[in-house]
Amino acid sequence: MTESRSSELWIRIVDGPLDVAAVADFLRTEEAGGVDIFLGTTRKWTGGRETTLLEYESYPAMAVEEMRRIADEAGKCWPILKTCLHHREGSVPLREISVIIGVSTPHRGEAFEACRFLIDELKSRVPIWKRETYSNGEIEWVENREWRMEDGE
Amino acid sequence: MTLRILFFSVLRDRTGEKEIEITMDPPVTTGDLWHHLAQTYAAIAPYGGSVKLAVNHTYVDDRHPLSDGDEVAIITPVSGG
Repeated sequence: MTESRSSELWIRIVDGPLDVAAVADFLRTEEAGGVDIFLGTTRKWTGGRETTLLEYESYPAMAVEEMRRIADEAGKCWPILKTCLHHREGSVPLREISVIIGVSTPHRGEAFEACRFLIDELKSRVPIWKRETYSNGEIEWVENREWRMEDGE
Repeated sequence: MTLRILFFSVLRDRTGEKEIEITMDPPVTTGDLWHHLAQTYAAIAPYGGSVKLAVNHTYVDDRHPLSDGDEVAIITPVSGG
């Protein structure tokens, strides 16, 4: 496991199940009127293909740093009180959670917007890769369409 | 100078390497390094249009000057989430 935790920001990459209750508990605070939590889960069907095995690998040291940079950027746009970015590694069975994004803010509107920004940026930048094994035997490293070459800053 | 190169995902499959050390004569940019790697491992050359390089955990462009001891990761399109 690779982890970075302060009172406002909790980042983890874990080889095993993710804990939604712990995230909800971390995010709640007296200043917050809204907590927004997004869960990404393993889907059985993509197009016409049936997933039988889904595995994630990461570059943990950079992934944690990149997640921190994304959280910092979100903090400049919305009045975020607390943020969680948790990602699972290794195999993730169908229906189980691969990623948790959570934020707490004073009001709900900014929580929804910040949460959407965080998951979209994670999918475009954080060095984590997904390998799908399909029921027809095909194995594929997936590429997120959010990957943007023009951003090689 | 000596550089530590990390491969992940499809490039690890193609090179058969997770991590290598290479020695090059300075000055070397990230673009020079990619050119060298694509010659050494022909199987990764087709990915040149979609990879980004990260030096010491930060994305850089292909003109970034490298220093002795740098850790350079070759990042193919990510698929987290």
